[in-house]
Amino acid sequence: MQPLLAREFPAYTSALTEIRAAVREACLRSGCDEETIAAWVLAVNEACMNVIQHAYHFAEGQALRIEVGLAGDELVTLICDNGIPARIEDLQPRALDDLRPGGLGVHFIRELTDTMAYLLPGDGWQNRLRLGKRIDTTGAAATSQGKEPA
Amino acid sequence: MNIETRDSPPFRVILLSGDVDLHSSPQARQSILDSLKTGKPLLVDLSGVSYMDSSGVASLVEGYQTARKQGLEFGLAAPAGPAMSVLKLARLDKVFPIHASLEERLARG
Repeated sequence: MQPLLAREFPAYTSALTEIRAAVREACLRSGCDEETIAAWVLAVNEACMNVIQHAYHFAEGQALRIEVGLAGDELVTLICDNGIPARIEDLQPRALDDLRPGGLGVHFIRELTDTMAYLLPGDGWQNRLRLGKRIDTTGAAATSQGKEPA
Repeated sequence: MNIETRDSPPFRVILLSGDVDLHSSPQARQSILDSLKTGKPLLVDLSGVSYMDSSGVASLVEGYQTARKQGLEFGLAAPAGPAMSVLKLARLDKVFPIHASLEERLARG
């Protein structure tokens, strides 16, 4: 994988602005178009939110690691943490006609990515979420089947 | 994120600007819920929002549901590109009353 970003961040809500800026900068270097970058930044932000909220329960002194890279024509991001692992049921998007606050994060991630998978623990991280999306680095984003870009 | 509130009778108006994310959305949520306690219809102007995530959307949904329970109007005004993108992604662009601009809704009284 061609690395574009590999960095640890504090797992605090106050770090989200910095995380988004770093992911955006990495995506810019990948050659993605603006629409793809905005969608990817949102997807990674949502995954980091889940780590802060559900894996670490807003505990202080925790960290997460983000790696962004290109594997061929796939934009790949790893979000790693050592919090409580997500349960399978937590990864299911809820029905959108069930109008209620919350529960949209997984829907956003699934809509904005082509692949979403947990890797085996490694490199000192227990939870390693891999997000992937095929891109066209010539400037135009590859369109995912039936998916609306953000 | 910056929050401004004002009265434009009969409405209470909240102007949100900047990034509405997990760090700042609790303030937006509280401002929305506090405004609804005044018993006035509420308009939330999103024209200055540069980024919104699912926690920001959740704050708007909670406000919308609270307003409906109270029989109050709850509308969004001028969602800028990033805010409109996430509302569409959540399929909420057809749920919330969305006005082209704050002035347009206020002019109708």
